Amino acid sequence: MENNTIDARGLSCPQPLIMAVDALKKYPSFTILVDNEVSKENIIRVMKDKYGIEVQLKNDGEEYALAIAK
Amino acid sequence: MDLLANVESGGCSAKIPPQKLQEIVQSLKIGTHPQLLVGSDTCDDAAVWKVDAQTAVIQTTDFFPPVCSDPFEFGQIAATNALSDIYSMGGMPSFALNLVMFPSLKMDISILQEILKGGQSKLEEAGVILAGGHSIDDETIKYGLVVTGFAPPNEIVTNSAAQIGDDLILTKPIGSGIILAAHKLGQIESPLYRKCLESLKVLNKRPMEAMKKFGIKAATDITGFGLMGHAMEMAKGSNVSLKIDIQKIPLFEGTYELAEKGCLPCALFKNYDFSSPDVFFTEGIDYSRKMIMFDAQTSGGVLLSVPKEKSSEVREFLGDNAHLIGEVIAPTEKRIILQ
Repeated sequence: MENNTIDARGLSCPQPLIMAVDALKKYPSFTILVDNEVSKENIIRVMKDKYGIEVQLKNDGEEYALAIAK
Repeated sequence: MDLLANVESGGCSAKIPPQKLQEIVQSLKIGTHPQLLVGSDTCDDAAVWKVDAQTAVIQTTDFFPPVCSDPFEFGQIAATNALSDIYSMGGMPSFALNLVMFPSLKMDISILQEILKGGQSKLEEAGVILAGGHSIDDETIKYGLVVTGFAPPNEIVTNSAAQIGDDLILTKPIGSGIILAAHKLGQIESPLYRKCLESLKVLNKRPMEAMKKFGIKAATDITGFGLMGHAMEMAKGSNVSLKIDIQKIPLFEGTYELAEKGCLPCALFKNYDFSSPDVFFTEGIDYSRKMIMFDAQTSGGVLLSVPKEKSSEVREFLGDNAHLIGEVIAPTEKRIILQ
C-alpha cells in the first residue's frame, strides 16, 4: 500500500482539482486532503465522470481525505 | 499592485449561481407593462422600454470583481462587458454611469483612478458619454456600469426570436474563465493569457452593426452562464432547439490543455448543474471539451441566430472572428443537441 498524500487544504478551486489530476498521472493510488466542500465535490465528480474512478471519502467533517486509486 | 491578489473569483465567474438566483427571482413580483418590450421573463441581456413608435430605451447594468492584474485593463474589460448587453440587443449605447466598490482605506486611490480611466477609454471608443456614477467603500474591489442605449422598437434584437433553420454564429472564442483562473494560479504562459485579454477588450459593436445591416432578429451575448447557459436561454425563449457542433466552437488557445489538467473553475460546475439537464450530449463527446462549453465567460462574444440565406454574408462582414457553430431546429426533448 503506497502512502502518497497530497495536501490541498487552504487552497481554493480549481487548484485542488489540478493537484488531484496531476497526482493521478504520478501515482497508482493517493490521498488528497481538502478543506472545502466545493473542491471535494468537484474532485469526486471529475474522477468519476472523466476517469471512471470511485473516490473513497475517508473521513468527513470540516476536512476531507479523498482516497483515489486507478 | 496585482488586482488579483485578494480576489476569490473574478469577472462573471463571481455571479450568484443560476439555481439560487432563479429561486428568489421567481418569488418576486416582476412588473409587466405594455411599453416594457423586454423584461426579465426571457432572461435577456437588457431591459427594453418603448418610448414611442420610433424610440426604445435599452438599459443594462453589470459589475464584477477584478479579472486581471492591471487596473486599467480591468476597467477596459468591465466597460466592454457592460456595453455588450446593449450591443447584443441591437442598440446603440449612448450614456453610462459608473458603479464602484473600493477599499479606499486600504488601497491607494490612484488604483481606482486607473480602473475608471480604463473604463472611460472603452466608453470613448464606443462613443458613449460618461454621465456620473456611484461609489461605495467596500472590502473588495468591484467595478461596472449602468449603460443606456437606444434603438427603434422594430429593430430590437432579442434572445427569443430565433427561427427554425437559422444558422448560429459565434463571434468570440470560449474559455476565458479557464484562462483567467489559470493565470491566477500561474498555470498559463503570458502570451496565451495576453491573447485572451485582448479578446475581452474587443467591443461587440461589429456584431451589432451586422444585426442592423442584415436585419438579424435574435442574438445574445455569452457571459457568466457560459455558452450552454446562454444558448439554452435563447432556445427556451424562442421555443426551438439548437443543434451545435462542438468541434466548430472556437476556443482560446490553451483552454483545452488547461481543462485536461483539471483547471475547471467552480463557476463552470455550477453552470453545468444548471444547464446540462437541457442538453443532449452525443455519445463519445470528449469530457474536457464538453465541460468547456459551460465555462463562465467574461466579456464574451455574441451568439447570432441568422437566416441561412444571409449567413455567409454575415460571416464575411464579421471577418475571421465569426464561426458557424450550428443551426436552429424544431423543438425536441432537449433544448440543445451537442454533437
